Amino acid sequence: MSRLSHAAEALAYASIADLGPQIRSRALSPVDLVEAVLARIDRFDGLNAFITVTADLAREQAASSAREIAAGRYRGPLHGIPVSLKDLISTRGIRTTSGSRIHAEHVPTHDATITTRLREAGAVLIGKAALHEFAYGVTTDNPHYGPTRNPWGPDRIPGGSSGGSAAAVAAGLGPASIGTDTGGSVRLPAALCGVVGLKPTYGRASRHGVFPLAWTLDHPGPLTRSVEDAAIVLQEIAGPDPEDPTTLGQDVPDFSGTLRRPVRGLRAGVLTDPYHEDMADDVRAAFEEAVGMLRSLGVQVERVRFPRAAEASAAQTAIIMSEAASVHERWLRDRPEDYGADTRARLQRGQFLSATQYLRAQRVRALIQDEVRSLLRSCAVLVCPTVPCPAPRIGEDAVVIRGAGVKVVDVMTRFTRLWNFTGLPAISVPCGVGTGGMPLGLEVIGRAMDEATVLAVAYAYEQATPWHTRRPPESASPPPG
Amino acid sequence: MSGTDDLAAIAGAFGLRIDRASLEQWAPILRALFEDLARMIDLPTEDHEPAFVGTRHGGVPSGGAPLSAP
Repeated sequence: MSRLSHAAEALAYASIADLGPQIRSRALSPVDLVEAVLARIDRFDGLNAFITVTADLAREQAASSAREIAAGRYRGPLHGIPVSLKDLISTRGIRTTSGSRIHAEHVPTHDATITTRLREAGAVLIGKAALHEFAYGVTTDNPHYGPTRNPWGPDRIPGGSSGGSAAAVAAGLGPASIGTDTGGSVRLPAALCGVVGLKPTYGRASRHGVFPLAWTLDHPGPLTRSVEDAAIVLQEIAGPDPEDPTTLGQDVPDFSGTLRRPVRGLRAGVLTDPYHEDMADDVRAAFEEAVGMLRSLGVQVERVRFPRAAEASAAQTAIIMSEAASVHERWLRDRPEDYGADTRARLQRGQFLSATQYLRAQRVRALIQDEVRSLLRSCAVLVCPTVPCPAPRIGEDAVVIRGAGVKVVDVMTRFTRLWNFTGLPAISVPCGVGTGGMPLGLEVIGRAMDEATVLAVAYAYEQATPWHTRRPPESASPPPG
Repeated sequence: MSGTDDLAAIAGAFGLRIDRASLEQWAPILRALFEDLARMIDLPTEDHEPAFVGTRHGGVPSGGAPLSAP
């Protein structure tokens, strides 16, 4: 590789925390940075990480950022930084498909609140990332826009539903992307692609202008290559928004400022109930090593059980099915043929749940939220693997875990969906390598509105381990086209 | 109420256009879910209203200071 190629790769994999000071001091121009990222997006087109690349807009925004910074108007750590948005986050004047045929030509007239906040922070929008159709699935094998590929193995899924966001960040196609997480759709693709994915507390980041999958389970959150960058991005997208009443009444702490707080003496609960014991051998080995690392950092580790995990999982399923069916009710009646087969089937099944079943699930949710709150009185965080197995192959419907065949759609969100149900903040951070060299993730869960502790633990672990420094092989990506 | 005929009756009552082959495929999935949900009637939820939102919050909870560390 030439010196120039080395420099381009170093720039592609630089963190926001590293790029920001260079941009601020004008050692690096946002124009050069965005050109490097756009060239790389073109080179790795075969990953199919984007539905729309906003190259012209990105160049305009980068030039504008450069002018502002030269004039002494530096906005903050995202100024001039290339970011992408999952393509169900509204962007004024830019097509927002939700990964669907139904919204294939949908051009919003307003920005989502998150889009506005990133724009005001000076971020440069490089594109709209691919996703599972309407975010209702875990593979990002999209019938309308094609499958997105995992940069660590192009025959593997990147996970979903924010698969394009995870693939882009992992392949160095921008240091950050915003995804959404209804059952694990930020954390699980982050884990499968070897990057960081943060689902904040429900209500921490506005859902206004984000096409819903299930209103009471949806959480927008960042995917990045480092925990520090996740803190930086969260800072910009968090906070009250009158357009989303669930965000009101919160204070937003300085997430970067608390990142390096010591974790020695902190109590962490390792989830060891039967529900959380079901995982592949390579995942178990990496997880046990991760717990050992937490211990060596001075974290007091104890075994805990999630209360009523099976009931929580079933209730969460009933809620997502009911709410998603309601979101899509009119289109299911008028144009069911415009959905892909898997998404249509999931949505239609939701139409068979009754109101009393939905409300029962929501009451059970309140009960279990109280019980989990009790669990988190003695533990500041809980930990488990993010996903029970490494990334399956594209098109695989089932995987074998400890000799038993399980459906991909059921197993992938097993360890993530309970935290959408409880609304608690959870992060996935790379924690090792599984079968075939595919990445694995460690999930750290915290108390409501206490992302600061979740980030501090994840940061301490990340800095003590080498996993965040691994890069996917450049040759693993298929050629453009 | 989750055999194929039951599902077909519900689909008919609510005007859902779903072919019978799909209903046959979904019946066991829905039956398992409905059985799980039926068991939840016995959980101690009498003091709990539906949650509706992901979590209740009002700032960092007591003891939220992460780090009980020195």
